[in-house]
Amino acid sequence: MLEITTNHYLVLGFILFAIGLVGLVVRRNLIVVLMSIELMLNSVNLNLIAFSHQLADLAGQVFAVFTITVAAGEAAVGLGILLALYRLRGTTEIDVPSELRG
Amino acid sequence: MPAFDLREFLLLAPEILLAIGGLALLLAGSVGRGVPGRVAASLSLFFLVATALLVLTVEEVGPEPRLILGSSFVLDGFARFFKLVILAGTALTVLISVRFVDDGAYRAGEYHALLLLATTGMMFMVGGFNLVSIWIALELMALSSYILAGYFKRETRSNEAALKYFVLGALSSAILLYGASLLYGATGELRLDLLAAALPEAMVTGRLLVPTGWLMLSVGLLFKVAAVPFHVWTPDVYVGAPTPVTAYLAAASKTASFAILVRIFVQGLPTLLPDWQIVIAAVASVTMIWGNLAALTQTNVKRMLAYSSIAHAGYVLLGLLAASVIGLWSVAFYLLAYTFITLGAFAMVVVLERREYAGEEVSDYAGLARRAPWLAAAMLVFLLALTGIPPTGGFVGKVYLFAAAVEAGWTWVAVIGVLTSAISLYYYFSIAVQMYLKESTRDTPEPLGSPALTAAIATCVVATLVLGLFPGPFIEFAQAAGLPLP
Amino acid sequence: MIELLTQHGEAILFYAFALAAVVSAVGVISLRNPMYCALSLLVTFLAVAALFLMRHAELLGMVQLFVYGGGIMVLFLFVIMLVNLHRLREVRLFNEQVPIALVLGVLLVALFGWVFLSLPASAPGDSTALVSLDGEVVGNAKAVAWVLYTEYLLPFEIASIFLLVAMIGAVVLGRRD
Repeated sequence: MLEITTNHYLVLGFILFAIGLVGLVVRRNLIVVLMSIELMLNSVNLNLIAFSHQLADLAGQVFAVFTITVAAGEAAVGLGILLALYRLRGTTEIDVPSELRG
Repeated sequence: MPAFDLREFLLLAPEILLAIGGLALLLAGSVGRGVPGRVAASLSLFFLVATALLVLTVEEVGPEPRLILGSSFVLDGFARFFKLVILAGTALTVLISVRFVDDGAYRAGEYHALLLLATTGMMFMVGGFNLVSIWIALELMALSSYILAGYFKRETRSNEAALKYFVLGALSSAILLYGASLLYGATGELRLDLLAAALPEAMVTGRLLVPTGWLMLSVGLLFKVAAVPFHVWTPDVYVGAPTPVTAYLAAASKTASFAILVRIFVQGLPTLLPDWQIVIAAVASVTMIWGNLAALTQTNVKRMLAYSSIAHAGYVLLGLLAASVIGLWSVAFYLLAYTFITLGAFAMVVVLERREYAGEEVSDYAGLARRAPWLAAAMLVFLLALTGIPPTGGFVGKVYLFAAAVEAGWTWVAVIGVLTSAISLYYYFSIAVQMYLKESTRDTPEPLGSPALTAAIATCVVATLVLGLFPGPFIEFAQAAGLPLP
Repeated sequence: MIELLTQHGEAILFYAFALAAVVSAVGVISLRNPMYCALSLLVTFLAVAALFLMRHAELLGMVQLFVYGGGIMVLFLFVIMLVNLHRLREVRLFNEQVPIALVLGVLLVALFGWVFLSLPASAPGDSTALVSLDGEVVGNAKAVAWVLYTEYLLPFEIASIFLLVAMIGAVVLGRRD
């Protein structure tokens, strides 16, 4: 318990991933859903860093750089969709009944 | 010391040209009031054709695959085949977009730029040989697709399609990425061949990391090809997106996603073959069953075609399931045929559509045989091909997929395929019944063609029939898309 | 006291930052006002950046601060204020799937926790590999940059096209016209 190993990072990573996943599933406001997605992507980085350290291999850190890049890009587009949604419907809630059925 | 010779970038000429094309269209669209739809489409087509020519000439693809650029990219028959199929799919999408984007109040420059950049992503995807390259290229394709799906941003349906596609797409990317990170942790490798080599030992030392990792990776990949139960995004996104974008998603995007699914499984995870065969068998079965059953009750043609495309993903999975030489080239052949068939079917939907979204009900096809006999005949060819009836490419493709499955010992899955294909006859032919046996009323939309649309439909019909009547050369072409099997 | 800190310093720091990360993450998904959710997310990012630093990922720790904290969070805050999200009254925060989602979440954490904790705790590799090139210690930033610009040059270029598409998307979807 007191010796911090890779496993600690993995468990923490998954806890954050799960919190993000729950947030994506249950929150009705799109902005919080977007934040949950960012949380999930960031938690994968924890895995990558931890493995990189254990394996003494830089590839994990490089992969994490790309993950951050993608997270940033997706945030931009997600917010664009949010703005378009807001202008169309005056709200950013995502389960207001609409024309598309399941 | 650089890890490779920078002149290897010249071998990426096709992808570079296509990216330049995307930039050119972006710049053209930013001048003044934007570039007219027809000009943008012509420019796009020019770049697509030029890229295809480069794919055919730049790479001297020998029997041995060639790894370049620090092994993040591979030039082999597999990549080359799929690049050409994807380029063809994009070109057809451009043709059917001409009237659609031109008439509307949306700018054509950015639309075509996004299409070309998405296709660039797809080309990098199918040539990627490293989990990082494949993933970043996948994200490029996906991000462009989210924007394209929401392109008609003043239509609620389009915005909602973009929203659903984005949220579920980002979720699946995160899951895929998480799985990849676990595999990296277990093996220390991201390159597919080195990953494969390191797997046997990793399965011992990494305990449960490897199974967890590849399962999550598979879930992410199966989301992208819309297999059941990861298909929930497909119906709403396909219906809401502008129809040419839907066609592009159904054909090109699905083809690229399948290509990486096959490559990762066959070249990256060969030791896990018995495990993933079970998973694929189960997924393929429920996909074929659910996709076809759900399509039975649809009256909206786009939604019906969405479920049909889900079902078709199930059929293609049979080829992967077989994991044999014939299995792989039957996947390649079917995706080739499927690209033309699907684009043709959606082109027919575009023909009847008005004001972006009218004209999507099955009843809108009433009496088409009398109003526009050639169009009805074209639609009939596509319906036959989708069901898998001779003499179409759809029939030939399915025969080989089912044969591959049976030969590999998975007969029961092939039987499900045959039975569900029979079920699909019912809903595909409901359209044919409308066209040939019903009368049109005043409310039925008039078919509105255009030269580009006619060219696209004609190409698809010819391709579908040629693949069905003279499959030989194309089968040989598909056989070049082989991968070393475990 | 000093003994306690020097002997178990790493553990104390890890648990402190881990706790901060988890608590603020829960805050992100459960707070009412989106502005508070955004600030909570910022705290999570800061905690994670600290954890990166503890694993010899110095460049990534800094990139995390700049890009996530300084870029993405600012973007979120701007949009929240643009749309006046912090003033909108949301009637219901959560949809009806909360119980199932929570149960599944807890089960998954338990499952994955068991998977990870059952792994053999192997000693970490020589971390000087993370800061050196060809045996010479140059620092993490230079080492990562070298690998990024040589072995992973192609994904780097693809990422640049990706960012271009992100910009196109933000403008096309977000502009008022």
